[in-house]
Amino acid sequence: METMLIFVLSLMLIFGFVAFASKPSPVYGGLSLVVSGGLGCAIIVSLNSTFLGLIVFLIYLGGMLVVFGYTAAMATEEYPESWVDNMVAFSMLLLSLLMEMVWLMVSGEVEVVMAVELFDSLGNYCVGQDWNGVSLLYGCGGWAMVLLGWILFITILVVLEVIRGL
Amino acid sequence: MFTINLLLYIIPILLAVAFLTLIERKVLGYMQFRKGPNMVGPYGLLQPFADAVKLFTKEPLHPLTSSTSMFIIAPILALSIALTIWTPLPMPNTLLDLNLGLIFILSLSGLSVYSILWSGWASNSKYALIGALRAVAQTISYEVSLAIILLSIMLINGSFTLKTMSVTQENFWLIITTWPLAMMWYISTLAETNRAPFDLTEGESELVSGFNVEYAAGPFAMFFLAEYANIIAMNAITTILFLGPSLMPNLSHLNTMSFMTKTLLLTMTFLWVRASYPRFRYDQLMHLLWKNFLPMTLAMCLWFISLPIALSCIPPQM
Repeated sequence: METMLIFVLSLMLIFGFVAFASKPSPVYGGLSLVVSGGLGCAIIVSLNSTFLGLIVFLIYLGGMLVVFGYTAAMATEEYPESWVDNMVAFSMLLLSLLMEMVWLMVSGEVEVVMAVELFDSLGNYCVGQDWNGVSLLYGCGGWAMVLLGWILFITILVVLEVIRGL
Repeated sequence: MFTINLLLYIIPILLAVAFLTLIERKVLGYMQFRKGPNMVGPYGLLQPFADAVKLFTKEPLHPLTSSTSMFIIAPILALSIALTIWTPLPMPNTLLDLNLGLIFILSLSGLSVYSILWSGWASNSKYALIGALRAVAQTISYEVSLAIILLSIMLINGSFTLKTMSVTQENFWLIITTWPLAMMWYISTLAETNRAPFDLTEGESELVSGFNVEYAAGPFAMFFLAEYANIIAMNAITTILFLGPSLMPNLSHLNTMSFMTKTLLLTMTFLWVRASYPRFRYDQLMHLLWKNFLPMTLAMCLWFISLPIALSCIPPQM
């Protein structure tokens, strides 16, 4: 049951990625990004990492909202392009269907890896396993934090450079 | 069975919303020395139902250039999120017993902003779009301070579980011990639910009607219901966080009574505020949040991080 759920969710996640990669109007792209972000978090939650899933959903939605607001303000078209007569989207759907069939014929069964664990040093003591990861990130994962902060810093520099003079 | 459960859960919320609209008009009426609705039924009690019948029998407008699917999805999303926010609330028994109830509520209320944004964009009208952008900017700004206040409360509580709030407040209400935060939380909920004096998104004289200009009849009613359900839900959360009803496992109905009474009193204060205060200007609104509330909440958050550690009484002390 759970494997089936995760399988369906990841299938929908792929469709969501196809939906925003096939270049519709920016707001539809935003819509499919939000949907696929939600689906990704649903996958994480069904792998028993509730905390991580909810936090990512919260941060991602809150952070991306600014971007979506900006795109909505910029993308005021009279007739926005949707997926109705979008060749890319439909050929992607066809391709994924073909891949699915080939995979099913080759391997015969669908297997989803369930043993996804982030950090399990403390075991199942009192708090959920995914909570421990947070404290470990600040403890022995200090350099990872520094690296992540540096990546964010570089990202904002890149973004500022890209939009300079616009 | 599932359908009956669902209906038993949705109908009381919708009824509460219906009577909230009535009591709002009545209270505002009496505050302005007039009667408010008093023709339909005794004391105008049937007025909300008459309004509902009128709204749902009207023809739903549908602008020609609007984006059909998103135009319809947005109000449905708004209403379903407003109803889902009620599931993890302990009164004192929850419908959905979540450990991370507060994060769930926060992410849902973050998601409900999207319905405003999409409705404004999908209408394909400049008024609706500008109204939506103003609403979104206001809502996400105040969500920042709401999240940080929640974080401070959770540092006292020791977890994100809403049920343990009643254990935390067994001896004393948090509204007193966390006073400036409680005040800022209440004002931020006013802004978050787009109520007066922060109702800039729907200011009739400034913007036509904000993000829902192009909506009429059924979809408009959905937005309306969502807004009022959000008001009651927000006040219920305030009650749980700051005025926690004491937990008596044998008398849980008394707990429910006191919970709902406090929620009602807070909601009435919303109406009182609406009748008393003039609307803020938009820059004043942003100034209030980013330059007054946010530094203060950050400082208080640091305070509530360091205080339990300094006194070596880190919650939860079970």
